[in-house]
This record gives sequence, structure tokens and C-alpha cells, in this order.
Amino acid sequence: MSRFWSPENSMFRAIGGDKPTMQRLLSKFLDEFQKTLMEWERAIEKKDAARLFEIQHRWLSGLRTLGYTELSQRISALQQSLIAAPEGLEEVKNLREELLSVQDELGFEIKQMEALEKRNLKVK
Amino acid sequence: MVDEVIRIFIVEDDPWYGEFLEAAVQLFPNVEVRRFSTANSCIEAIQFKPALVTLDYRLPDMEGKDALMAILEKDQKAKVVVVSAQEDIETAVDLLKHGAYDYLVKNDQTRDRLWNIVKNLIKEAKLERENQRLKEELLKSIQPVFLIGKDANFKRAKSIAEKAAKSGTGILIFGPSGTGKKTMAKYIHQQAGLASQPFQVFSPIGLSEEQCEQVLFGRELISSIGIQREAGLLVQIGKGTLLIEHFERLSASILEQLAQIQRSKHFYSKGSNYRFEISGRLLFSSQTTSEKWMQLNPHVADLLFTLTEMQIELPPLVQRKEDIELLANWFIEQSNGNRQNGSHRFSKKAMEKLQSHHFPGNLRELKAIIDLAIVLSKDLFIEADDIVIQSQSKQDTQWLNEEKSMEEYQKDIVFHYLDKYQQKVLVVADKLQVSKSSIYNLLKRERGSNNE
Repeated sequence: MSRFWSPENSMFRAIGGDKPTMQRLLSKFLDEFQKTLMEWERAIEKKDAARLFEIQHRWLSGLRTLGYTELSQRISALQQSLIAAPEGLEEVKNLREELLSVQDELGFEIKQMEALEKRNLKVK
Repeated sequence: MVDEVIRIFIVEDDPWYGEFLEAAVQLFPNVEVRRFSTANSCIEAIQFKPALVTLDYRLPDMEGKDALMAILEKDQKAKVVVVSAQEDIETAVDLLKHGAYDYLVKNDQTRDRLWNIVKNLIKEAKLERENQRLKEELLKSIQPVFLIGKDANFKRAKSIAEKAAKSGTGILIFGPSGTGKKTMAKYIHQQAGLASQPFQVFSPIGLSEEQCEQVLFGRELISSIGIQREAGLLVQIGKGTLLIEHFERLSASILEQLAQIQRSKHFYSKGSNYRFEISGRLLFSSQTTSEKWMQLNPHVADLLFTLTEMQIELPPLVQRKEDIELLANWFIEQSNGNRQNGSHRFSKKAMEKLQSHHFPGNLRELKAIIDLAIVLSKDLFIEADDIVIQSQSKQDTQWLNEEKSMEEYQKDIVFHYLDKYQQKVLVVADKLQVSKSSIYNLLKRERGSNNE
């Protein structure tokens, strides 16, 4: 059983709504997140602080909404130092592991949802 | 009753977040959502009057504050909720000061808070509709005032009233007791398109100056918990009408205050100097003409001219003989109202009896006679016997029931004759067989007492 479907789960409470809506929103966020994660890595390689700032700003709303409060707070704090790059750039690199775990977790949740959906269809 | 559609605009350049907000508000029934990715596209569409706008603080074409102000400039009533990634309290306070309906930070609480806002909006919209429905019902229940009469003087008074109603100026309605001054005031109130607004009547009779002030201007009670304000009639009427009867009984000080308010449309409370804005209309009524007031008390007359730009004179019923039948039938119609079994009618003799009476009590007396006749009549036909008119001798002595002093009765008699003979002192002196100086002295005494 996916922990996403527990009402105690902050992600569940934050998105709310019916299952297809939640699944759609979560998938869409993950798609966008995966795309921009690659871009984010390229921006680090190119030391493009402005692009990093933009990408991270775009993540903030979603991450906060989905309950990744601690991570979003760290990104938010880093945004200020990014403006004064390149010092901020090193710290940004440290986010990589956490961002990948967000990606994994969201992927896992979506797979669980899909599995649940298939099982429901079979029962019907 | 079908619920109205709640139109919500979402201004958000992040497609995912826009979709998230849309999904959140779509959970409510009857919600129509439009999404915009720029502030300008939303501003262009603001003419469609959304019930709510969620506005991202950081947009590609405009900063949140500028977008908020631009939206409010186009629609002052727009409810704009700024949704921002910024947790800065100063920014939030600044936006709220500039007219934002609420400020939401983008986090895991956003959906719940947005839900509460939409829930309140739906509740507000329902209350507004209910309020509107009740207003409409109230309007239907307000009986329109009709002024019935063919008499030329009466028709002239009615015509002046209709013109004056639209002009919004102060009006003095004068005429003997029972001629329908209050009805005329109500007619002016309705003709001015104020039927749904309050109509209040104030009479200073039996009240001290202090009581009059409290009723008109309100009062303040100062206690340990602060100042408690009780609004007076001038404030209570809102955009409606206040009729001040027997205005001449008000002190010169109150009349001066009213004249001042008439000019400035505001006044300050006596205790805490609190400013009250006045948007209602003042009408005055009296049994005394302004010409008579010029003689009695020029100062009061002067204030009267400041307060009222138009005067409407209602003729006594004795001068409207041709209207008696019309009015009698009108009162019958009103009294019969919802009767299922037909309407009363007058016999020829009953009508002759009515027309031969001189009605010192004017319309009020005519109505009372007809109400009684309806009760006394055996069937739907009102006979002469059903028309009960107080005997002449009884009426002739009725004025004595007021138990005034001899001086006051003398004064009443002199003023009655002055009115009757167009204020011609010599003619009155001749009629009453008194010297003209005694009349002048009486007028002088009267002015003196009114100036005190």
C-alpha cells in the first residue's frame, strides 16, 4: 500500500481531490522536475547562476506544496546566495542527492497509484 | 433556486501550479475557472467580473503589486488573493494595504486556505442573493402612495411635489391639520426613487430641546469600556427621508444646526467630535405658512428659507368640494381592499350628506367618517344614516377642549383672521372690533417669545 494514499500524508492532504486529479498533478510535476533536473545539472556545469536561480524558483512552489518543506527552505535560502554566485554554486551542488531522492519518491508514489488503479480495474 | 456560477481567474505563469490551483477550486460546484499566464491578459479580461482572482506575485510581465493595483483600478470590487512563494510578512502587509483580499504563501496549506476563501465567497454570494431577494420583496410590499384629487390647487401642489422630489431640495409642506402633509411627504419620498430607503417622521411635540437633539443627532454614552454611539434619525435614515413635523417647535439652535447640516452634509457628535456623514433628505411640515413666520419670528423664517427651497401648500378639504366624492370612493376602495364579496357604494343621499359637510378635520375626518360608515352599513350600500357627522355645536366647541389660556385663545383667533385676510392687520382689526395696535402688540409679543 502506498503511503501516499494515507490521509496523514502531507502530500495527499496538500493536493487533495480525486485520484485521477492527484495522479495527473503528481505525474506532471515529476515530468517537469525530471526535465529541469537535467537542465539544473547542466547549469551547474556551466556555472550559470541565473538559470539555476530560475529553475530552483520554479521548483519551490511545487516542493512546498507537496510537503518537502525542509528542502524547499534550503533552496529558498540558497536562492539569496545564488545571486552572489559563485560561492552559492558549491552549496547548490550539495542538493543533488536530495533532489534525486525526491525524484525517486515521486516516481514510486506514481507507480503505486498506477498499480492500485490496475488492481481496481481488475476487480471491477 | 439555481446557484450562480462563481467565476475565478487564476493568474499563474507556472503551468503546474496553475493546474494545481485550478484542480483545487474545481472541487466546488458551479465554479468556472479561467487561467492566465500574464498579468496583462487577466487585466484585459477583468471586464467579465470574476468573483475571485488568484494572482501570482512574480509574473513575467508585471510585479504582483502593480498587477494588483491595475486590476483594482479596473474593478474596485475585485477580490484579489495574492499567491506567492515569498514568505516576507512586509510584502504581505503592503499588498493587503493596497487592497489585496488575502495573501497566500505557496506551501502545503495553500489548497486548504484557498478552499476556505472560496467557501466564504460562495457563502457571501448566497447572502448577497438572499439580501437582494428580500429587498425586492420589501419593494413589492411597499404600498405606493397615491395623491387623489382634481382640485386645481391640489393638482398644483402635486405637480410641485413631483418636480421638487427629483430636485433633491429641502421642502416645506404646510396646510391645516389633517390635509395629508405626511402622505405628501411619503409621495415625495417615493417620487424621488427612494421607496426602498427608510422614511421616518419626527415630531418635537412634548420633547425638550435636549431630547430633540438626542433623537435627531444621536447621543454618546461614555463608560469604562469606551464610547457607545447611538445614531440619531439623521443618520438612521441613510439615503432615505426624514420628515420633521411642527418644525417651528424646534429651538432656533437646532434649526441652525439642521441648516448647517443641510449645507455641509455632515456633523460632529457633541462628545467625541465624531464625524457623521449625512446623505438623507429633510422635509419639513407645519400648519403655519412661511409668510406668517416672517411676521412671528423673522429669524425662524430666515432659517426656514435656508432649510427649504420649495414650499407646498395643501388646501383644506372645504376648498376641494369636487374631490370629496373622489376621495370618499378612494377610501372605500382602500378599506375594502381584499374583500371577496364586493365593494361598498354610497347612496345618493349619503354622498350629498358628505358633500354638505365642511370637514374641519379635513382628510383625516373624512376617512374616519367612512371607516365608521362601513362598519354601520347593513349591507354594501352606505345610506345617509350611516354617515355620522359630529353635530355642528359639538364641533364648534371642540376647539375649547384644548384648554388653553385666554391669551393663547386670543392669539389663535387673531392668527386665524390674519390667515383668512391675507395678513391685513387693518381688516382683521375691523373684523374683530379691536384696535390695530393691539394686534401689532400681540405680534410683537409673539416675536419676543420666539426669540428667547
